[in-house]
Amino acid sequence: MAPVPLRETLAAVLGVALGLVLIAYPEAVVRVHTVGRVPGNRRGEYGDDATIPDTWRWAVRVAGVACVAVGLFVGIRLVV
Amino acid sequence: MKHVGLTARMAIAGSILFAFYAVAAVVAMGVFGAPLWLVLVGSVAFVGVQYKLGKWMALRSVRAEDMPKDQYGWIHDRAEHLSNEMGIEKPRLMVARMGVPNAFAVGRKGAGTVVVSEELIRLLDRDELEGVLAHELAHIANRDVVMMVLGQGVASIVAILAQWAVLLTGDNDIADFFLAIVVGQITQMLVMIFVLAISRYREYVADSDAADAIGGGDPLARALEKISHGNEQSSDSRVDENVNALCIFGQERGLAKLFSTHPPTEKRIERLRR
Repeated sequence: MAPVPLRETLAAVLGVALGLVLIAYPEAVVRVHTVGRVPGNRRGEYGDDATIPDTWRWAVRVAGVACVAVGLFVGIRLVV
Repeated sequence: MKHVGLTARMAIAGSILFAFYAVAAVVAMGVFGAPLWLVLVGSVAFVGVQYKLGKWMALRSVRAEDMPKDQYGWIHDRAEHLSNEMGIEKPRLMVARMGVPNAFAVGRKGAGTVVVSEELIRLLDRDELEGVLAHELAHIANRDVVMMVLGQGVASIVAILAQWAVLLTGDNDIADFFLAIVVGQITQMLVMIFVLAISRYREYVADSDAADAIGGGDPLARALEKISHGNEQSSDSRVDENVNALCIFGQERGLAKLFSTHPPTEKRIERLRR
């Protein structure tokens, strides 16, 4: 039995997992990249986490779908 | 010591962040052959640029203007008084039309700026607004803004190095490029979990300092209540709820909680009234 290529397997598994996180939690993902760079609450209301514009939310989700697609592509290439 | 809990938690979280950074520095020196001085100078420059750029972008994005003393004289007076109480220089006060009641602080001790939205000034009574001001001044006094910039800086440096380490040790295959991007993103998220935990705790500390400065937590608790009730009733909020309904998971549940910058408002109100 041939050894499982570790990097390709990691790329497939982690890629799909990251993609699902991007689709499910777009606001959290934007926050991870903006906290400390811009005040987190300058958009939302006082005392709450910042809300993000819909365009950002959907852009992150599209990136998530792309991530899942590339992850699946790498995974299928491994199996086939 | 004023905040023993904060100091202890900061020491633990700071050590973890430093450990992440130390690993990244060793990787930079090992994989890229970078000398230690270059790693240190590069890191300081990276964080410095983020700090300067972040402050400039924040003020520009809300079109903040200097708060006129003739119109908002009492806010200037209260800010002066509270700053003296907290042992910091009075920060620059700015006002902006943000469309929602809001306020935030940028900068550091001696070069801080507090921006208050016109909507917040209209919504709150004077003592409630004083509570909000005290909370923002506490963020400057406790160096919270600088701490968040440092945390984000460490997370970004570690993520960039993880990404390049994967890329440079691979075969330039599509799977390697993709793995490098994915590892960079996941690394940044993992480090930011610690940074955001610090952020949530520092909100409680700023609330506590604000309560000390104004002689009680009730005004700030009332301010938070007013804003959150307004949020529930506003039509904008209904739009947000519709958008949130499209989410697969609620934003305040599960994993999203780990990536929250603020603790739940109800918990803050409860602590302020204790």
